[in-house]
Amino acid sequence: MSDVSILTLLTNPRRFFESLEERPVSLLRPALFVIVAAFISALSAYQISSLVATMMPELQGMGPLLGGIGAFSAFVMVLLMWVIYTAIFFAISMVFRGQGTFGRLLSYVGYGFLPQAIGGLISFALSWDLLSNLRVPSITDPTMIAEWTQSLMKDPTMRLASGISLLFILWSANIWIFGVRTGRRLSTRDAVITVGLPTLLFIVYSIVTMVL
Amino acid sequence: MRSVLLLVSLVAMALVAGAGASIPTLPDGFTLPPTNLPTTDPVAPTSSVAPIVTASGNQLQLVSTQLVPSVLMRGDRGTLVIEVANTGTAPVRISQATLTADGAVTVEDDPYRTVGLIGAGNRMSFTYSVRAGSPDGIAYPVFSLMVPDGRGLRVPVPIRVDSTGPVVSFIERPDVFTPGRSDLVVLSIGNPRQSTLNGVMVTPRGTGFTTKPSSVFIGELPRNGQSRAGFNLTPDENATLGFDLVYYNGQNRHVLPIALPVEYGKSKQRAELLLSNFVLEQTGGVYRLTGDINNAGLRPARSVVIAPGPEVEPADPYPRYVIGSLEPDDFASFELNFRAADGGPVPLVISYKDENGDAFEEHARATTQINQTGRGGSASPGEPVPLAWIVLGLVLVAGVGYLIVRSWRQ
Repeated sequence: MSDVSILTLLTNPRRFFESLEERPVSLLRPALFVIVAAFISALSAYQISSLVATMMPELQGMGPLLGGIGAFSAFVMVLLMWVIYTAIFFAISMVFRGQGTFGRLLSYVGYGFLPQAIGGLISFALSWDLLSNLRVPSITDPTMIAEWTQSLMKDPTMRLASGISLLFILWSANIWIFGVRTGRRLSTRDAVITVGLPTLLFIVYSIVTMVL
Repeated sequence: MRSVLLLVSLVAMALVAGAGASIPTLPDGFTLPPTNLPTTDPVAPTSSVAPIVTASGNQLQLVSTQLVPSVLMRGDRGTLVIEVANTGTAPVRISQATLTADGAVTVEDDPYRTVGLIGAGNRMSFTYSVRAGSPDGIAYPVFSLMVPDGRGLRVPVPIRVDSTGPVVSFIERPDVFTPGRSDLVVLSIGNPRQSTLNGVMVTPRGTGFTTKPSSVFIGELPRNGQSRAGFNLTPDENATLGFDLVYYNGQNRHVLPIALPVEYGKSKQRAELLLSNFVLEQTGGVYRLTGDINNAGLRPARSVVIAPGPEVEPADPYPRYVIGSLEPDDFASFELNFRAADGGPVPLVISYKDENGDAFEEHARATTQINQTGRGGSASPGEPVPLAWIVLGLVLVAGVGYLIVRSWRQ
C-alpha cells in the first residue's frame, strides 16, 4: 500500500485494489471518503430544506432546524447507501460464486465514494450559485410547493448539476467494478454485471425523474 | 369796430377754409365747429373761434362740442353737447335748433323745436343723443340754429365711429388640461382704441370647472394701455371654458367672449415618476421590497409617498414610504414591507402633489414572479446555463471518460 496512492485509485483502480488484497481489511480510509461525500450531500440537503422552509409562512424561523434535519437525513442516507450498495453487490456476486468477506467488499465500495465526493462538491457549487440568489415567495399550498420544487429541479443549472452527479456515479461504478472483481474474486465480466446492473437501473431512474 | 370784427371774421373764415380742405365732403357754406376731430382723451376740448355775424347783426358763436364717449363703437349711444354763445350786445331769438343725421350716425331725439332768446353775452347748451351705426368712419351731423331772419348757424359736427375692440391674448396657459388639476391661465387685455375703456372686468364662463378668483376687475383701461388677469382653473372632465371681457365705452356696455379651447391629457411638463432597481427579499413571511424612484418629468413632485396596492397587506416597519419632494431628474430610494398571498406581481401606488397642491396617483407593479432568481441580478429559471458551467461540464465528461478508459487499458 505504501507505493500506491489515492491518485492510483482514480487512475488505475485495478492496481489499487490488487495492492490491498494482501492487506487486512481497514474501513478507516473508505469511511473517511464516505463521510466526506455524506457531508457534501448534507450541505446540499441543508440548502434545499432551508429554501423550502422559507416558502411556508407557518415555518418561518424554522429554516435552520428543517435544514439541519434535511442535512442529517442526507448524511445518514449516504452512509446507508454505502452499506446498501455493498449488500447489493455482495448479493449479486453470490450468483457468480463470489468469494471474499462482506467487510472487505464494504471497504472497497467505500473507496468508490471518492469520485462522488468530488462530483458532489462540483454539483453543490452549481446549485449554490442558483439557490443562493433564488427569491422564494410565500406559499401555503403544499401542491404549489411541490410544483415550485419541480420547476426548480427542471432548471438547466439544476439539471447540469444532476448530470454531473450521474457522471461521477458512473466513475464510482467503474471503481466499484474493480473493487468487486478483486474483493469477491470475480471475472471482469461478472464484476461488470454485478456493479453495472444496479448502477444502470439507478442511472436510468435518475434520468427519467429528471426529464419527466 | 365793426370793420375790425369783419376783418377778424374773414381771417377766421380763411383759416377754417384751410382746415376744411382736409375734409372734402364739407358742404358749401358750412362753417367748421370750433372743435377738432377727437383723437385724444379726455374728449372734446373746449375752444372758441371768431363769432359768426348773423343777418340781424347779432353774433352767435359755437363755443364747443363735446361727445361722450369721444369715439363711438358700432351700436353705441353717445351724448353730444353743443354750446353756443351770443357774443353780441343784443339778445338773439332762436326759433329752432336741430341736429341732422349723417352717415353712420343717427340722431335719436329732437328736443329743441322751440328755443327762445339767447341773451347778449350768454351761452346756451344743446344736448343730443346720437347712435352709431355702420360702417366705421367719420360722420358729420349738421347742427343748425334757425333765426327769424332766415339765416341760421349751420355747423357740421364730426363724430368718429370706430368699432375696434380690446385685444385679448393668453400669455400663460397649460398645453393641456388635466381633470382635477388646477392650472394658471393669464390673459393680457390691451386697449388699441383712441379712447379710454371703463369698468373692464374679466369673468370666466362655461361649465364643469372651478376658478380662483371668480373674476378680475381691472377698471379703467386707458388708450394704448394693457393689463393682465390671472386665473387658477380646475376643470372637471368635459368642461367648457371661456371668458367674458366686460367693458364700458361711455354708457355702452360691451361683452367680448373669449374662447379657451380645452384639450385634456397629461401635461408635457408634469412630474413623471418611474420605479426601477427592484430588489425583493423575504424574511419571516414578510417581503422587503427596495428600489429607486426617479422623477423623469420637468416639474417637481411634492409629498411623494409609495405604498403597496390594496391587494397586498402592508407590514412593519415600512408599510408605506414617504419620499417627500422629488425634483426633476432626481431620484430617491425606497423600502416597503408587505405580506403577499402569492408570488405574483405586487401593485404599488405612488401618490404625490404638484406645486398647486393638486393630488395625483400613479400605479406601478413590482415583478416578484414565483420562480424569479437574482443570479447576477438578471437570471431566472429556464434561462441558459452560463457558458462557464457548460465548459466545466464538458471538461468533466472528457476527464472522467479519459480516466475510465485509461483504467481499462492498464
